[in-house]
Amino acid sequence: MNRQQRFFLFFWLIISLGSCGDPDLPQDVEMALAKVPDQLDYNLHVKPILSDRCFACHGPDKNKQKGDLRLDLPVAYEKVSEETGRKALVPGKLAKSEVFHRIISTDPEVIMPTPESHLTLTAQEKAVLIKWIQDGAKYKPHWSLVAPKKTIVPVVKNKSWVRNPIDNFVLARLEADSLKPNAEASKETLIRRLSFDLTGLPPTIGEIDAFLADKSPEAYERVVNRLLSSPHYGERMANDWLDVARYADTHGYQDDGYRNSYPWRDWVIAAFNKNQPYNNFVTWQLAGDLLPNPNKEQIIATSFLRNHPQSQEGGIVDEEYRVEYVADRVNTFGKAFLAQSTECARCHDHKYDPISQKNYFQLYAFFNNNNETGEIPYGTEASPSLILSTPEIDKILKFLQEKKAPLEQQGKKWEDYQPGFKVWFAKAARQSTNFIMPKKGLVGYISFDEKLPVVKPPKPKKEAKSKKEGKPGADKKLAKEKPKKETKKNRPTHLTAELSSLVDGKFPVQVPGKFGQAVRVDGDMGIVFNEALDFDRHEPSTVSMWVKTLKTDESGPLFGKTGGDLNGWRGYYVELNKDQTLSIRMMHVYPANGIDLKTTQKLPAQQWQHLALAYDGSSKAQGIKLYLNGKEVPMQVINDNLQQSILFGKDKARMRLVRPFTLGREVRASITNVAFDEFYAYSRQLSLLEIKQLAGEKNLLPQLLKKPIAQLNPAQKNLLFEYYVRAVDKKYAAIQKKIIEVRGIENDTITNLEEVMVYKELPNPRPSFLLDRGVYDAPKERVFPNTPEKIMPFSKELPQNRLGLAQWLTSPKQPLFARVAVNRFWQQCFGKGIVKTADDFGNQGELPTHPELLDWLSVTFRESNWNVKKLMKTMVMSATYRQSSVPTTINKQKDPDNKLFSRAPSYRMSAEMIRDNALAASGLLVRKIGGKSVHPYQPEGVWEALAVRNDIKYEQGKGEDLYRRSMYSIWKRSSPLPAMITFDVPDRYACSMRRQKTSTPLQALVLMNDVQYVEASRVLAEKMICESGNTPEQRITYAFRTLTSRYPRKEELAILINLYQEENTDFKKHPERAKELLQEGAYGRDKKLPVTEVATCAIIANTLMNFDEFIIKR
Amino acid sequence: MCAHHDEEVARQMSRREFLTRASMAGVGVAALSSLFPLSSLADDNTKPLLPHFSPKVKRIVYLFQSGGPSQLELFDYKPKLKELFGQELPASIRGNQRLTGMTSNQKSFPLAIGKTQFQQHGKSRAWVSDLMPHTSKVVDELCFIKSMYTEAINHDPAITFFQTGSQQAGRPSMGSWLSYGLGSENRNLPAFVVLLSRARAGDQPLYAKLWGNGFLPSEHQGVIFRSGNDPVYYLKDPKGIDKVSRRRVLDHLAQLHQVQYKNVLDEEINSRISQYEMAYRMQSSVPATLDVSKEPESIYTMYGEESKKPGTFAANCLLARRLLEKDVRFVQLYHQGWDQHSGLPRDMPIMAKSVDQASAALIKDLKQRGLLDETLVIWGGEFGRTNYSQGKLTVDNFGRDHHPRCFTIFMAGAGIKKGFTYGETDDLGYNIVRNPVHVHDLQATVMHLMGIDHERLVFKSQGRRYRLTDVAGKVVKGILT
Repeated sequence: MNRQQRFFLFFWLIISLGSCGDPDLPQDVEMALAKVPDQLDYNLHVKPILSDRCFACHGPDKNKQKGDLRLDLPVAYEKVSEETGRKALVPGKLAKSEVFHRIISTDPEVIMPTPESHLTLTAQEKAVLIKWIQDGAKYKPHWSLVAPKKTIVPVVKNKSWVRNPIDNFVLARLEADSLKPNAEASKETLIRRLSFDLTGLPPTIGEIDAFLADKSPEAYERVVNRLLSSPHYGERMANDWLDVARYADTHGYQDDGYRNSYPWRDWVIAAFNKNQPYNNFVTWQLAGDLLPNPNKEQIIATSFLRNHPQSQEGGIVDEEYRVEYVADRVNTFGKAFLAQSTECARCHDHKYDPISQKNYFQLYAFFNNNNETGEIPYGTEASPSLILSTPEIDKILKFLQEKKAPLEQQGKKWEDYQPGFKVWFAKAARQSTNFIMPKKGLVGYISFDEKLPVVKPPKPKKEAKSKKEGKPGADKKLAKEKPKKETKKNRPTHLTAELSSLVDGKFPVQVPGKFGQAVRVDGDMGIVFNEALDFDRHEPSTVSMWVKTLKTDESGPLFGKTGGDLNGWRGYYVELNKDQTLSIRMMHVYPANGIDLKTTQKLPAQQWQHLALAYDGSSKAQGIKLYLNGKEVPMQVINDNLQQSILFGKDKARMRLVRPFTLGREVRASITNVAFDEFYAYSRQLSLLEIKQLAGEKNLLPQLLKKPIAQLNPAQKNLLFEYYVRAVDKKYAAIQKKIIEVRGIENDTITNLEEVMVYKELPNPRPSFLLDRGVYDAPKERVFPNTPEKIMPFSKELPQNRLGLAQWLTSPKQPLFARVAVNRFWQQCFGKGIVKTADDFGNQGELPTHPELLDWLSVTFRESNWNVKKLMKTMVMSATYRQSSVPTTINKQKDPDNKLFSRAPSYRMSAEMIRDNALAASGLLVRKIGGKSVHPYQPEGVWEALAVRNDIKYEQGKGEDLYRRSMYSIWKRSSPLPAMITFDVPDRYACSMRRQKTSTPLQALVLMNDVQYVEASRVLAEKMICESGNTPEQRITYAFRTLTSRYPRKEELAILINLYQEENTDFKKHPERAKELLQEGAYGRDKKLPVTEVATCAIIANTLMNFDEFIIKR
Repeated sequence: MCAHHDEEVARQMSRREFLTRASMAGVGVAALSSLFPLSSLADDNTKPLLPHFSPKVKRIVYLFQSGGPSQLELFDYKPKLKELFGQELPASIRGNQRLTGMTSNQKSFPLAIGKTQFQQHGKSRAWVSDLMPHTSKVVDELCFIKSMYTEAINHDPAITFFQTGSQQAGRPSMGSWLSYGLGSENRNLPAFVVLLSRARAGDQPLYAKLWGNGFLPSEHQGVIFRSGNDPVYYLKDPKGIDKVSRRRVLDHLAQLHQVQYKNVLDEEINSRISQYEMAYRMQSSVPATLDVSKEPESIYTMYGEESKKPGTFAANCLLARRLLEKDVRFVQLYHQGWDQHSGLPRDMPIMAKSVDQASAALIKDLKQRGLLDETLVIWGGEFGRTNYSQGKLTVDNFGRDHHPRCFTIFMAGAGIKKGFTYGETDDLGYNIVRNPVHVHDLQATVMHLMGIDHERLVFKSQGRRYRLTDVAGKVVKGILT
């Protein structure tokens, strides 16, 4: 190009810029443009603006793309505006880019974002977008979706400061800004910081002194190693995980009763203490049950998937809540492991991040197969659960098993009864009478020929004290409110039945029966029996009746004894399904802990059918037999896992809804147009012959007996032989009696064991559908387990279940998992993450302050086989961590938010740390690890003001329970401990990745007035006197050190001595004040010590519990 | 120090001394100007410029009737029900209505009504049942909305929806939004106070999430005020600590904090000093505000006998008035007991009696003090009740299930039409036939009255801008003056 050509080109450029080139910019944008960095980074500078202001209408949500334009992808280059003919973005060509015209427009019809969105762009933001277009409008993949690579550790100038690679990354950044790192913090500050970060507890004075005295270069590392191997390390790490895992001791939602969730919490503590590799830690929680031959711990770990709130509210739509639980698992999975706001994609495609609604429900499909219900029972653990034994109980159970096995064996050896049969047959044949209806074990018989009495209405009460939602009034007297053991002892020998109804004046009526009269139910009514039919799972029984459905399409409960959904369907019942098959269920808690059977043939309608249900007491599906007209009905086994009682015995259930055996109805549902006749009940398993007799072949037994034995065919012989064994043989009866006895003890023992909710995969996966607007009853296309492809495609090699999902999650190419974990651990040590939005690594989240450091840590963590202790050690060993938190003028000015880690952070410690510090310093702290949650001090009436049923009363603990670490304090979601909530413990309804760190006057009130702190102050006062010395200086210094881990400064000492003396004088004048103060709290007082001295010291101690250095990590 | 020392003087003295010291140490008086300053975790949320426009209402008292009061026994007069008593609710009217598990299995849905009588009252000729004789007398102050509807059919999600705009836990409640958006009007009391009462044992529970701050900074959480001598948790000094000692400790603590500030240069310390002063002020201002002992007998007569019994709805109404007088922004009163699944004819008079006189008295009292002109009173529950019986039906005994499709609430006070009825249901009181008002519409209207555009008061959490009305809500212009 010669000079002239160049001139022309230049001239042409000027012209084109002036005419169709870059147009004039508004003045403020022009000015802002001057301040835009020369090198714009799409992820750092541009996308945060595009995402926040444009993606809602021009982002990944297919259904919301206005004008069919999306700006999150380079397809924007191709999109032509219908109005102007301009393309949305023309790289390098501002004037040709529609986006540009839209953002600088002042015309409300044209301007973007639209006025209706209430969003605007600042001049600075417009300038960034303008420069980006000028520079070529280049897109880059989102930083967090590119797998981390181990970056090269940067070289720094000040090499002597560096202790490990963390420092290289931090210092390189500081040096780029001409900043220097802070000096190292004092040893006292360091040991306090370390102790809290690694164990959640303060160092003791002894530990501080040892560290101060240890001048060796390894002193610091020795402290770190000691803390990492402390059993309190696991507690500290678990405490944060409880927030992530939305752990609580109650179910949440309306009735909010207790759940037994602590075994999972204790597993978490142990896992951290054992330093279980983080990938396994997560895999067990997501899919422990799917591992080959899972052990108890691996199954308990899946309780993570059950920590979400569950509803006990009567009358909810079961599926609505079950869907909610599955959704919670998806949301928690997304947030805890991927730091994605997955939940946004439940109702529509995500507006900011590449997660479609289909992706959401594909993830949902992984978590949709738990064998559970939406409405969970009152008083007992929700299904499915794992029964937790103890070594002692195991011994008892083993002993019972050893007793039971030979008996059961003996019971099965029917050839032993042949000789007896022959003798009996010979005798019976001679005496054959013409009619023998089974009498042995008969509990009762109701012919329905006489009119049954009506259930008496309950006496009106002054207040509806015991009213239960969904409990029909007429049955009130039969519904036992108070825990009452259902046993044979209180079971009357006579069977009685009464008519009950929900409809005024409308009761079951008498109709012509199979024999004489029958009784007919017609919806909202039933025939209620007395306690004679309260069989438990170890007790053989038979019920027999004639049934006639008068119409062909009836469905509903036929007969049984169950409290329905309110008590987990405990009991046994037979239901007529819509397809006219029958379901037979025998349940401890539906659906997982029970037997669930379904007939394959239909119940014929409009004619009398004989039904008999016989049960052998074995707690096995094959022990339940249903007979239709004297023939056994083939049944499909849906579940065969009955492990505990089908009654409310003396077991741990706190709330019971005991219902009687009823025909035609259960608590909520009823059946219409069904007649019943000739009801028999037996306390043993009847033989087929007997059932045939009940089913109409009245004379079968005498007929068979009349025949010479040689003329009987094998089937007839079998009938007789079975009859003989079950009904006649005394030895068999004796063995049965023993078996029932042993099984009864076993039943009581197992039923009383603790349980913990776990995840249990259904044998056949429940089909999953994309739910329109995320609503449970709006299924659309069917979906199958899969992961969002934009995060990482799901390999075909992986199993399509939660185990496969865990493998996908923890695989080396996964871009998010390691980063999210490392960031959260960093947050534990540094107060905030390298990505401040620890729960959002998406387009709307903050960017990492040190992306290379995050990646280096992530890859190193993975390569260390996910060694958490090693990671924690690397962090706390760094010079970055050891800096002083006191800002210098320069770094405060240049790094006001400490984004560059130019100093150590300082922030308010957690609620747990503050309380535990007070307990530890006073010596009250009980250092026991794990166990059931405890009830510490809380103001009176907190629970009682809100709750009305289910664990209403707060029973404050005694002794040790008042002084356990705060993580063991009971967490009731609907009524959390006020002192803890005041210090920002999340309510634990949902996964939470970071806590607020507020400062409010209510916190001051807690620390000054909560009996927990007042008591700790007065107990510490006694230590101040006994363990330090006689002077105020000594006592104050002791308290100061034990509460804040450092010596007081001179000025501080002077202030406190002054307070000491003034209070001391006052107490001496008013000793009654001192006496009163020392009565606060349950802990005994050392009466040998002078009251005024202890009270004075208590004031000092409490003042220090309100002091900055006690509350704030420095 | 003498025990008879004038404590108030001592307090004032030390306070002045404190302020001098504090300002020397760099604590601006400005730091004391709001009771609950912003937290250190502020996210990207810069405080919105509020109000968006001139507010009609300065403060709100929400008399929340938890459990779902029956509109058919209180305000929505349906003579047709008497005519059709015991007859089946036509399936055409029930339509595809989703029922709760409590009645979805019921085989029959007989129309139910008891002996309750209705009369017209006031100039506005509003129909009110005889169960509410006092409320009847103030109907010309009231604006009834007979066409409220909601989405949830069970208590927990329905109350949560009303209070937070979402059926699931986790969103901030209405009071928290207002506290966040508008701040506190006074220096000694929280902006958002919760009062609790119940008229019957049993019934439905409440949950702390209803006054939770959700993702908003936790200082916007509702603070429960209780009756008795410890009205706010931990407010009372421990035994043996008198005001002199408390003051002395706080003065020394402030000195310690000043030393600490000099050494660690953390602005948070100054905020902490002011938090302690505010806590101290609350210790006297809260009991003083709640001290009803000097209320004249005429006031007790007005609120009813129960108003002398701490913890009752009536007593709480009186407390609510005192809190409103002190410019508490949002008083949320919850009254439990309105869940009449059975025994409705027996329980409704009990429930109505527990609220009627005091509700009316609160409105009259606010009016006579000139406060009603800038206060909004809201009265209502989370849903209505079915026109058919749950369980057995007789004239003397029946129950009603939850009914989300229509129910009645009323409002009174600033910005709202007086003696006015909005919306209408069909002859059987099952469906709305005119001017439906969704829960989000009501929330939008309440925000509007406070000078807030509900679409613009947003808070970004996890990348999304949230608002009380979620993605819906229209201001109900028809009820505004």
